[in-house]
Amino acid sequence: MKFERQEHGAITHIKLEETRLDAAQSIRFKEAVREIVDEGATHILLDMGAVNFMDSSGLGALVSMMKYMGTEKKFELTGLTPMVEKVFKLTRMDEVFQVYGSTQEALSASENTLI
Amino acid sequence: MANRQELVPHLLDDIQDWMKTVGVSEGKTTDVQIVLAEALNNVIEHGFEHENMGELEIRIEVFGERVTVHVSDNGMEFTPPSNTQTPLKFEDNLDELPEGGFGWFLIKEITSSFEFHRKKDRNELILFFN
Repeated sequence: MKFERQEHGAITHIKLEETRLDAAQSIRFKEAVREIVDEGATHILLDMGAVNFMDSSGLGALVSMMKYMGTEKKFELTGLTPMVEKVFKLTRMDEVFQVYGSTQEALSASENTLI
Repeated sequence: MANRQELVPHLLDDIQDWMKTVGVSEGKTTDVQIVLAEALNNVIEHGFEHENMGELEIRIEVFGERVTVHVSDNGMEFTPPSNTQTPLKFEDNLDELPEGGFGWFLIKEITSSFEFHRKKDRNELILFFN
């Protein structure tokens, strides 16, 4: 499971460098994100711009990560490709997750809440 | 069937390429991909849960933008759940959010209809995309 990781203040921006988040990948994905959380990340922005295919297992893995981080920490998403966005809309998960149109938008939103 | 779930992405890629060559639109191809991923994972996880060998047949018929997909397997009998509402309830607390159960919901939402038959020790799922 490959991520490109950048720290922007309190935000840990992780870009998933995989084209699929599916049943074959979801366990490894959960392990990798858990490790990042356990290392101390309190606000994760997951960039899914490279993911052109996600199934219900992938969606379940995202829910699992949001739960793992609990209410004190933040798990947010950006860069949803059209296919992934479709799965989010159909399952109404777009109303559960905080989804940003771009990384920049997510970073600005975070700055605004700090002020 | 070692690394069984790794099979699904390869099958889906091949199917996507084929649908492109016969001129099915990108939107319809995506719909078929989403649904077929759920159907195939279901067969592999439930139908062949305790098996290392299994037979799976996929047949796709294309009439312009109308696509019909037949998935047939010789795995354990299964019945699609009758309740395929979204597992999500908005009053759910974070802890209670479901992590599964979205597969059949996606199949129901995206297909125009689907049929399931158990015939001669085979599961047959027919998915219609009109």
